Amino acid sequence: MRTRLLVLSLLLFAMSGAAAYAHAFLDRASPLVGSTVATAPREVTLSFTQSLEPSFSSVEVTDAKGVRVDQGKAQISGSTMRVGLKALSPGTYKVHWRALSVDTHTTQGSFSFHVGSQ
Amino acid sequence: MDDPLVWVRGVHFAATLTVGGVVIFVAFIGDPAFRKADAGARLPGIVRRRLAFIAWIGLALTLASGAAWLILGAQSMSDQTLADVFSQGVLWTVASDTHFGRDWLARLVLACFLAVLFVPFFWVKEERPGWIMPAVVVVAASLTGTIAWAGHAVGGLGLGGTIHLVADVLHLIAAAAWIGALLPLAVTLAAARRTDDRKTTAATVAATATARFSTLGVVSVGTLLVTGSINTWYLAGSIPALTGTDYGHLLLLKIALFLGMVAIAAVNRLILMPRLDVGGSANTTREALRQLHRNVLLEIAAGGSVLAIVAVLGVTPPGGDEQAMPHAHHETH
Repeated sequence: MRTRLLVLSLLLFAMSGAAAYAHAFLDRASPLVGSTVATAPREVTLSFTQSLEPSFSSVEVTDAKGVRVDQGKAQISGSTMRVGLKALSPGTYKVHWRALSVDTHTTQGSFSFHVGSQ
Repeated sequence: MDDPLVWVRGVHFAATLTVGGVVIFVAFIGDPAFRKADAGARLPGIVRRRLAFIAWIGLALTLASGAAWLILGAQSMSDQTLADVFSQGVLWTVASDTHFGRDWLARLVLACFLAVLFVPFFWVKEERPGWIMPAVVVVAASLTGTIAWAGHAVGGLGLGGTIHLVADVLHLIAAAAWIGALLPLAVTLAAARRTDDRKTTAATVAATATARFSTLGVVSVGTLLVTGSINTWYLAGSIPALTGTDYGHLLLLKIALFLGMVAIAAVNRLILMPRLDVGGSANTTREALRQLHRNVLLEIAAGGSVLAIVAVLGVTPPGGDEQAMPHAHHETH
């Protein structure tokens, strides 16, 4: 009886198919991941799937030569990271983030965006 | 498996659940059972002393493994060498500035508080004041439940995150009430088999303890089922996540062990427990006691395996993650 109950409840939960994720993953970014923007953005904003630990999370933005173009301290609150940018000239920029979730697990990743005409 | 954090987690779970289990056992099973012993019986004193010894060792191991977990956690969070963790003040940043660290500081306070309360709680010779029992139960349950803040459950956002966290807290306390209380039950049954008290005292204490443990076990198993399903839903979330990932396989193995333990518990409750009846023949009682003792040891082995799996699960990316983000970069610490 208990076995059947367990299988049944497992199936029910499994089929509802809603998954929350452990570990903080990038949920949304501005500028969008891989996008081309016409005007140079003043900041990069990253939203994650979990709350972050500000002390051990970071974001870096570099140009094609690998020179840092972010400026000021990244602001991290809740599940969002935000960092200001220097005045960007047209070109490709890379965003590298490292996120420590409040569940103590670290994830990192990077993406590019492009400034200039389409 | 070569990750030292897995071993530290395993020891910490086992130690904390044992502390919680002994306290719950003494409060809800041991004391009521011992009250039925003859006035001059030696059994209650023997069992109480052994349980006190186990609880003190468990608390010491909880503190030691907790400290090791904090250090290893600080190392992986900061991505620095172990030497830098100590010299660069990383340990203090983690302890004061992260959810995990603050939880650990709170648990350190709870553990110290529990150590103070243990002195009167395990006082064998005299009656203890009435407030000690509920205080010890609350502090021990808190020490056990607050492990949840160091796990996967804490990262969720919004209402779902809260539900997952509450489920995890209850899951841990229910696990302590069952797996953690198995060792005290085994100690009680072993002592009942060997005592030179009158046979009726040994049988009565063993029968009462087993009956009460079994009732508590039904509540614990029910709680574990519901909260375990909620956790599974949040962390795995789909059939492929269970069948197609390492996390899912480990979880299925854990569920299989759990069902095995429930099967043994059912045999204990439905077949062996009625045979402990004091009115039955001495031989029947002795044989039932022997089989019960053996079954409880089997359950302890299965429960230990469950804890070992949990230790690995905590450093394994949940199935829901791997299914959703197969190419995401994990540092599984």
